[in-house]
Amino acid sequence: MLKTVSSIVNALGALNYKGTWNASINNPALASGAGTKGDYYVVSVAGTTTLDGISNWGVGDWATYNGSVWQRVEGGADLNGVNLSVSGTTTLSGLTASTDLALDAGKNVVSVGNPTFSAYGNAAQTLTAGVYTKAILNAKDYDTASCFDSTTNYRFTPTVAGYYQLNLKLSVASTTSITTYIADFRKNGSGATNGRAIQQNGSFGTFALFNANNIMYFDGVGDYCEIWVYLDGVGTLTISSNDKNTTFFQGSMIRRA
Amino acid sequence: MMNIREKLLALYPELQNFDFSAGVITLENASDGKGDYIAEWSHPTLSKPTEAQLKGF
Repeated sequence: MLKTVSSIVNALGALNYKGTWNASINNPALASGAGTKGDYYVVSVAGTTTLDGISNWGVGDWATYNGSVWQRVEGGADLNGVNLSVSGTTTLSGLTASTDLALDAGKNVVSVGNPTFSAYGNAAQTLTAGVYTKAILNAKDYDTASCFDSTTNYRFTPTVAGYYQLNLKLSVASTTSITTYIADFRKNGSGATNGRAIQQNGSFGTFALFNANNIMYFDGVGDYCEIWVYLDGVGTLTISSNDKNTTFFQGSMIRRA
Repeated sequence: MMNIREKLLALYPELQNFDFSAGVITLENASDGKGDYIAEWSHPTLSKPTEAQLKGF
């Protein structure tokens, strides 16, 4: 019985180069679970043709048939894997990403899609003594992801779930005297439990400048935060403004959910 | 014209300023043009006034 050289080689388990394969249009046509043991093709055109569950074909990869299924052997200049696990020292000469975290050319971690904003009021806001009042923050210094509403609700509604550092600096004034000032971070309408700055039943003259900070979780789909202010005293009470250095509400993501 | 807290203090002279900051009676203004309102009334003995009572001042 005559045998071809190829069949003998295949029987020994050697590889048999069959030519190039276009993984985009599956040419020549390869099918899952069908082939000759040892045959292999080199991908000439990247594509997503599925062979035995594999669909990430890059130029230079090998499609090899082991007698049962087609397998992918990484080849070519570009890594074309799905998951990568690295142990030990890793040296990267260049890294870019289309997702939310990347390294820049200076090897610094760069957060790409993390909402960050700074808002302030562009006019003084008069408050009724003893009334919790939402701060009108109708101007923005920056708002990287357009998550701060400075026109209607004066609130921060981040679109990415995670933990955010929130900073508030507030300058308040009275034509006569201030006796109490309170500022709340109100999450979804709820008040003091989400962070508060308070000075109460004192005598603070005609001007007070105070800060409040908080780390708050947002679900990225609707959670929001507003600033509500309570003033008491004598005379006309106002949130001073038109000075983004002394009255502002800022936030920035510090950790993803 | 009296503001809402002044009206409440006139109606209930026993109220203290502290009552309005400590959550016993919470007055709010949402900065939406609708003005000041009673958001929460948790006073143990005094009842929440009606709109008519407040308009009477």
